[in-house]
Amino acid sequence: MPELKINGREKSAEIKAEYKKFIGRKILFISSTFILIIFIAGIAATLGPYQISVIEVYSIVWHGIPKILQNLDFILSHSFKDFSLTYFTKEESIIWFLRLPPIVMAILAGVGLGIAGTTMQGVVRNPLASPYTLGIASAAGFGAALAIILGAGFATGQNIIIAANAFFFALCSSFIIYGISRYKGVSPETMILAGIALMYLFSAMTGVLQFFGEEKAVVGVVYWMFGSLAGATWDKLFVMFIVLIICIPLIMLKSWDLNTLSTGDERAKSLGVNVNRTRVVCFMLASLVTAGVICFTGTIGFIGLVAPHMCRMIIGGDNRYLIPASGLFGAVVLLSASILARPPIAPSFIPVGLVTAFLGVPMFLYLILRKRKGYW
Amino acid sequence: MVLIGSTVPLTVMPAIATGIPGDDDGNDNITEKELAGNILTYMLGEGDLSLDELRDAAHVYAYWNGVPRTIVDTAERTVTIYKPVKKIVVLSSDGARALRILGDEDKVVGISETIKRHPYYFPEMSQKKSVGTWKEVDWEEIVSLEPDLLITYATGSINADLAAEKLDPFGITVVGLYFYVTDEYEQIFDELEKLAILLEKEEAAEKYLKWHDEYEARVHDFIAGKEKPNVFMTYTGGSIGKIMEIASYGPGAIDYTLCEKAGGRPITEDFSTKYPKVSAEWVLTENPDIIILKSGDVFGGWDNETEPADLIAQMMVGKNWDDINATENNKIYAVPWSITNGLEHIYGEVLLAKICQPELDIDPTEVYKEFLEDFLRVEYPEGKVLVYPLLAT
Amino acid sequence: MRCKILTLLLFLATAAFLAGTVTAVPGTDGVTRSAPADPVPGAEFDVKLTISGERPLVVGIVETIPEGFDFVSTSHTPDQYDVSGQKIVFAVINETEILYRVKASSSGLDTFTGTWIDMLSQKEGSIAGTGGIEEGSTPTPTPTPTPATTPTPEVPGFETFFTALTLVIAGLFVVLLRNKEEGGRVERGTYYLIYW
Repeated sequence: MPELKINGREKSAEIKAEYKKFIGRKILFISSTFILIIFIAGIAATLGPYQISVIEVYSIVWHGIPKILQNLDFILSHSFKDFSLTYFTKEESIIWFLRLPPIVMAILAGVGLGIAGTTMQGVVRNPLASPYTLGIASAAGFGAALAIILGAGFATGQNIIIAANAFFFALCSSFIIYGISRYKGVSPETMILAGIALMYLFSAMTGVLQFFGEEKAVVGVVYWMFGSLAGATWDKLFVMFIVLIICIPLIMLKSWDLNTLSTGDERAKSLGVNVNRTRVVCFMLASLVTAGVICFTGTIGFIGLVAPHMCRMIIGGDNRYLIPASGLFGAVVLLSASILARPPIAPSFIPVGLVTAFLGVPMFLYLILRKRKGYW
Repeated sequence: MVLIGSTVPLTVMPAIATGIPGDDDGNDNITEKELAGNILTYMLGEGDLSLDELRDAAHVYAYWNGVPRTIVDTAERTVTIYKPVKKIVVLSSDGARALRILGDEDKVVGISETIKRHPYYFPEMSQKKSVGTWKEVDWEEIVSLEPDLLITYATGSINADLAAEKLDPFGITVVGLYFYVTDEYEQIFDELEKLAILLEKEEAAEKYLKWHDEYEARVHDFIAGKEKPNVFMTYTGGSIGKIMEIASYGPGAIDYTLCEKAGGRPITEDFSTKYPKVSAEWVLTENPDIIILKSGDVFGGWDNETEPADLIAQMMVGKNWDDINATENNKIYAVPWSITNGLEHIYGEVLLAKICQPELDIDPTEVYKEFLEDFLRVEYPEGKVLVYPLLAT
Repeated sequence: MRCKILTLLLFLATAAFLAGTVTAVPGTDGVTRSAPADPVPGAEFDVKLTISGERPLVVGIVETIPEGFDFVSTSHTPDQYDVSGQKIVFAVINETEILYRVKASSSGLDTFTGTWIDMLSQKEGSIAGTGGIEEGSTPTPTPTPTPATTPTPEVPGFETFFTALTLVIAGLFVVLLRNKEEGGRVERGTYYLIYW
C-alpha cells in the first residue's frame, strides 16, 4: 500500500481511486480464473483413448445442450441410455457421459470446497481451519464406512446409500457442534474444540467398523477416504449442483458480515452485526456445502484449506471477492489435479485427493516464501 | 462458433438401438416373419441391418426361441442379452476363472490388472488389453473395446450399478457377479449358471456343478455320524502377532460354513459376529483339536515350505498354546487363502474334511489337480505347497 | 440345494438335447440348383434349390434368372420370397428345398446364377448347378445396405443465448458487490487477526 501524505478531501479522493483500482484487480482475477476453468476443462475433455480435438469437444458440448433440451420429453419418457443410443454419436456419448461428469464434478467440488474453506476460516477466525476442521470429513467417512461395511449385503442402490449416509453423518456432526455452541455460546474456541473432539469420535467409530469388517469392505472404505472423481454421474452432479446453488448465494449474502467478524466480535457487534447468528448460519451453510460435495467424492483434502489462502494472498481478505475467487480457484486446482491424476499410461490412476496435495503444496509454499510479511 | 456449429451433425430420427436386431415391432420376440422379411430386404441390398446383425437375429430365432435371454444378477439387476455375446471385458480374476470354466476365454477383449498378473492361469486372457484395477477403471478404454458384456463384482469400487451408469449410454450390458464364495454359500453356483445362460454355455456349467456336487456328496456322506473335532480357524490379516486380537470366523462366515460341511466343529459356534476377534487365552480354554491358519497368495499355494512354516511359528509366538490338543497332536495347518474362496473351494472343503476326518478316501490334491486341468485347463504346477505340513495319504 | 441342482440338471439335459445341433457345425453345407438341361423356349419349367445341412437352418438366397426369362410362381411361403427384376430372393428357415417356376425366353438356353448366405454360420457361397443348367461363374456381390442418412437441423441462436446468460450472471455478481460497497461500509484490506 503506498503511503498517503495528502490530507482532507484530496486524500479521500485518492483513496477512492486507489480502491477502485484494487476492485478492478479483484474482478480481473475472478474473471480470468473463470476463463481458465473453461480452458482447462476443454483440455481435460480431450484426454482419453478416443482422439477428440479441443474444437470438437467444445462443439459437442455446444450442440449437446440444445439436443438434450429439445428431446427432454424423450429422455423423461425413456431414459438417458435410450437417448444416448438414439440421438448421440459415439463421440458425443463419450464426451457427455464419460468425460464431462468427472470434469463437472471437479469444478463443482472445487468450488464447493474452496468456498466452504473460506467461510470456515472466516467463521472461526483461524487460518488453519478447512471444511474438514470441524470433524465433517471423519463423520462423512464414518457414514460411508457404515454403509460399505454393514451394507455389503444389499447391492441395490449401494452407491446412493453410501452417499446418503456420508451426507447424513456429515450434517450430524455439524448439528452436534451447533448444539454445543448454542449451549455454551458460539465462540470460535468452542466450535474448534468440539469439532476436534467429534473428529476423534468418528475416527474411532470408523476404526471399530473396520476392525470387525470383512477384508474387501475394509479396503473399500480406505479407498473411499482417498477421494475420487471417478464415480461422477449426472444424477449425482445434479444433487451436488442443487446444494451449491442454494448455499453459495446465501453465503455470499453473509460475506460482508463475515468481514466484520474478522475485526473481532465486539467491533462487529458495534457495526450492527448479529455475531452469533452470522457465525452459526455461515458455519451451517459451509457444512452443508462440504457434505454435499464429499458425500459423492470422498475426502478430497487440501483444496478447502489452501485455495482461500492463495486467493487471499493475491486479492486480499475481503470476503465478498475472496469467496467467489477461492471457489473458482479451488475448481482450477482440482481440475488440474484431475488431469495429472490420469497419467498418459492408462490404466494407472492416482486418487485425485492425493494429487491435489502434491500439486498444491509447492504452489502454496512458493506463495508463502514470496510474500514478505504476514498476509493473514 | 458458427464454424464449430457446422461440424457436428444432429440426428433427429429416434431409432431405439437396444433390443433384438430385426425385431421390427419391438416386442422382444423375433418371429419367423420378421426374420424372413429382414433376410429378403438384406438380400435385395436394402434394409437397415448389417449382415452381422442379421446373423444375430437368425441366431436368436434359431437357438433362443426368438426371445432375449434374461437373468437377475447378484446386484439384483435384471440383465438382458438381445444378441449373442461376442466380446467380453472381465474385471475380476474370479470372473476370469468362471470364463475359463465355461470355455469362453477367447471372447475376452479386455481385462483387469489382476488377470494380467497371472498369465499362468489365464494364458490367453492375460495378453488382452488391461482397462484398470479393482478400484479404478478407464471407462473410455472399455468403450473403445466395444464389448457386448462387462463382468464385474456386484458391489465394491467398480460395482455393477456404477458400471451400468457409465456404460448404458454405449449399449454395453453389465453383469454384476462375484464368483467368489460369499457368505451365501449357494450364490456362486447360481452365478455360474446365470453367466452360462448369458453365454450359452449351460453344458460347461453343468459339468462343473456335477463335479463339485459329487465331491460334496462324498464328503457329506462320509462325515455323517462321525465325531466332530473342535476346530479353530484363523487368518492372517495383519493381526497375527498381536496377542490380544486373533481373527476368526463366526457363524454365517463362509469359512465357518465350510468347516462345518467338512465335519469339524468350529469353536466359535456361540459367537454372534461373522468375523470375531478372540484372545489367545480364550483359544487356550477352548482347547481346539485342530488349528487352521489361512494365508498366502490368491492363486495356488506357496513355492516352498519355509513360508507357511514361518507363518505358523509367528502365530505361535507368545500364545502359550503349547498344551492345547492341536499343538500336542501336531494338528496346526497353514493353508492358502484362496482354497475356501474361489470356484475351487471344493478343494478347501475336501482338504478340511481330510484334516478333520483323516480316514476320508479322497486325496485333496487330486481334487485341486482336476480343477486346474479339467476346468481351468492349465497344467497342474508341480511343487506347490497347498497345505503345510503335508497330510498323510 | 440338491433339489435345485437336480432340476437344473434336468433342465440342462433337456436343453442340451434340444440344442444338440449347436455343438455340431451349424448351418448349411451348400445350396445346389437342379433344372432341365435344355428348357423349351417360351415354355414354363421348374427349378429346384436344395439346401443341404442339419436344422436349424436359416439361409438367404438370391437367384438371378437370365434376361428374357420370367418368374412365374413358387411353392415357397409367401412372406419368405420377393422378386425384383431378374432377381428372386428367398428367406429359407428350416427348409431344405425350394421349388420355383420360370418361363423360358424365346431363345431358350441361358445361365442362372445364384448366391447364398448362411445366417447361422459365417459361410456363404454361390449356388452350384446340377442337372444341366450351367453354374453361375460370377456370384452376385454381397449386397451392402447403405445406412439411412438423417437430416441435420442447426440451432444457431443457442450460443448467443448462452453467452448472454453467462454475462447476465457475471453482471449480477458485480451489481451485488457494488451495492454492498456503496453502503460505504467497506475498507480495503481488512486483514484478519491471527487468533490461534
